[in-house]
Amino acid sequence: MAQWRENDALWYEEKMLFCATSGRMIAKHFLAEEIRDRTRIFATPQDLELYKDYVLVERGEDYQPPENVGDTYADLMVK
Amino acid sequence: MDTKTQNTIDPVTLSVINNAFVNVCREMGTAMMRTSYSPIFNEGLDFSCMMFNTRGDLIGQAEFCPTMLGSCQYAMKWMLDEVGIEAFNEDDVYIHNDPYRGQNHMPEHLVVKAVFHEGKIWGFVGNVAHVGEIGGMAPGSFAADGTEVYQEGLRLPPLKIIDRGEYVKDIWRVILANHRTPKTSWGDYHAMIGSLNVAEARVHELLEKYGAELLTTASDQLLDYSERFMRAEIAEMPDGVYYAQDLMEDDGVTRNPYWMRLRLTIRGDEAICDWTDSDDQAKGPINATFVVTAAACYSGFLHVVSNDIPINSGAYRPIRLVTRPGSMMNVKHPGPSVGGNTETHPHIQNVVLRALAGAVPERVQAGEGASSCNFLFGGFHPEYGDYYTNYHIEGSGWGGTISHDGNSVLCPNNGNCRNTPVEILETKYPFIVEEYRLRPDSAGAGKWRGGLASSRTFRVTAPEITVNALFDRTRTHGPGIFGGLEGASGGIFIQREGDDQFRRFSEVFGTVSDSKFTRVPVTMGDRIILNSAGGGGFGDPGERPRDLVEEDLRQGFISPEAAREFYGYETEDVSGEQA
Repeated sequence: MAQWRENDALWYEEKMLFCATSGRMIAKHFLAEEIRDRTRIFATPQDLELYKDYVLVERGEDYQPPENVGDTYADLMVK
Repeated sequence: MDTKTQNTIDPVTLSVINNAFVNVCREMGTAMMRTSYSPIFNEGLDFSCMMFNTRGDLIGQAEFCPTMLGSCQYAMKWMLDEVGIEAFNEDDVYIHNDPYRGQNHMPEHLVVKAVFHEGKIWGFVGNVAHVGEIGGMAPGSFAADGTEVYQEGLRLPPLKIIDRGEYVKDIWRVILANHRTPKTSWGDYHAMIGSLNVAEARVHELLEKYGAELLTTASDQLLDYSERFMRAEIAEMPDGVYYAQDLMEDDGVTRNPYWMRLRLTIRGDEAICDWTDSDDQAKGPINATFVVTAAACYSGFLHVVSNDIPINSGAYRPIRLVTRPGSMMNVKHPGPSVGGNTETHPHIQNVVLRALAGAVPERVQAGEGASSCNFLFGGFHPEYGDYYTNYHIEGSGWGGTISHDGNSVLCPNNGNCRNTPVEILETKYPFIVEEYRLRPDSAGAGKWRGGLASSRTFRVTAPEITVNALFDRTRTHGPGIFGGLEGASGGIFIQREGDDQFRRFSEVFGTVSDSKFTRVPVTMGDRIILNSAGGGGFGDPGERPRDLVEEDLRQGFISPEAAREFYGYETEDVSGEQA
């Protein structure tokens, strides 16, 4: 169950948090949910939804681009 | 709430209110233009004016810079989340330029003022403007070979600079002490603040006329209307996954290229712009912040959908972003990003349009020159004695479309900015503009050719000027599409006094990059050429109507050799001579 939480940095600290879907930095309030035994944080409920129905489905957890990914793009893009 | 606001407001009233919001922003822009000190404000128009609701949504804007208009909601929302809406008093002004708090890059400062009505905040008026000098390692604050955000100038989290109508003098002292040209900053900041006051007065008039509840309801309904409109436009596109990529030629610190890659999914009435496959963040300042990437996506879509969508945060909702922190599409602290907004943004938007070519080929343009040709300089003026800096930009060629040649010498798609008249440049700064012209054969050939690039030659008339540059597409090209050919590269070159030819800065001064460098001293009599890049062509050049080729020849836009090579134009040219 997702919960709204706050960045616990003190006023003189900078603690940079990133939305697990968009990568957007989070100022103070974020949505946290346990997904596959890890707490993931999101900027908005829409980002949480997209994480479940796009990121996990199309990319998988902690996706990193493969070495020659540019070749795939070169093949698939409109010339 | 009266019955009118309980239900849907009629379309005519909604339209009138939307146009009123647009006009508030236009009037702010006029105030900024007429009262600012620096040419990048009053000639270049490198600013945007806007209105926000109490949630930080963009509810009003006008024809300003797409990169600012797409990103400002994030900076505003950050400000509200970090300092809280309760921190805003009547006649307070906040400022904010921190790329690690939702701004696009350091020079662009957001100033905002809450509009109060009957003791409560109704909304905010704001503007974002490119402040021409904010300190850092290079005059003009484009640290083109910098490796950290701290070299790019003074970083301001959301700060109150006017407290209930009074200067917060300690903050002003810190800011102005860190700028090389504090008098200009003082003037430009006051142009920004003055335009807020103009807008506040106009919003008060609207509040008197319509009432706060109706205006709030109208702005909410406009957001929803724009969202529905954008969703309907996207729903018309065929579902699918579309790919595109482009590169920045180097980052100023190394000569390595950096690739941005978009996996675009059209899924029903929603678009998912997934940039995860892009390269890791660069050492140099070509990185985009998340909000720059977002703004480029919004702007790309706005190029292919109906012009009738009221542009506000609602229009952006169906366009979803997936980025990887630590990549060049979402730089992590303390990475530099000043060029991400001016140079990488137009490249990103080009990639969006290239991906959309798979879905709506008839609505896209070919690749563009995509560089603002940022040229910055500073020094002591030999006549006036003052220290000056200036931020100068050039237009480039845009890509051809299905029915038109590309625009020539136009600010890249992120800007909507103007060039600075030669007379202003020569009056304020110790340069003579010896030449400013279109570059023949710079447009990519096509059934509809790209736009032409420009060439400008400066001659130095001071004992010494420190120059910085942040260009791209000097070794790469604006790509053509559907058989169209690429546009010509741009470049920046120098001819030292006594030399007989123009050379690259890397050759003369040993800069790592030909196109991105800082703190190069040029001296009296040196000449500098700024060449922008041309736009790519759309469609097979062999299908270009013969009369258009002849007109290009007559105008000097193409040479007889190019007419022959690209268009097969072999007969007598228009002047009667054999081509």
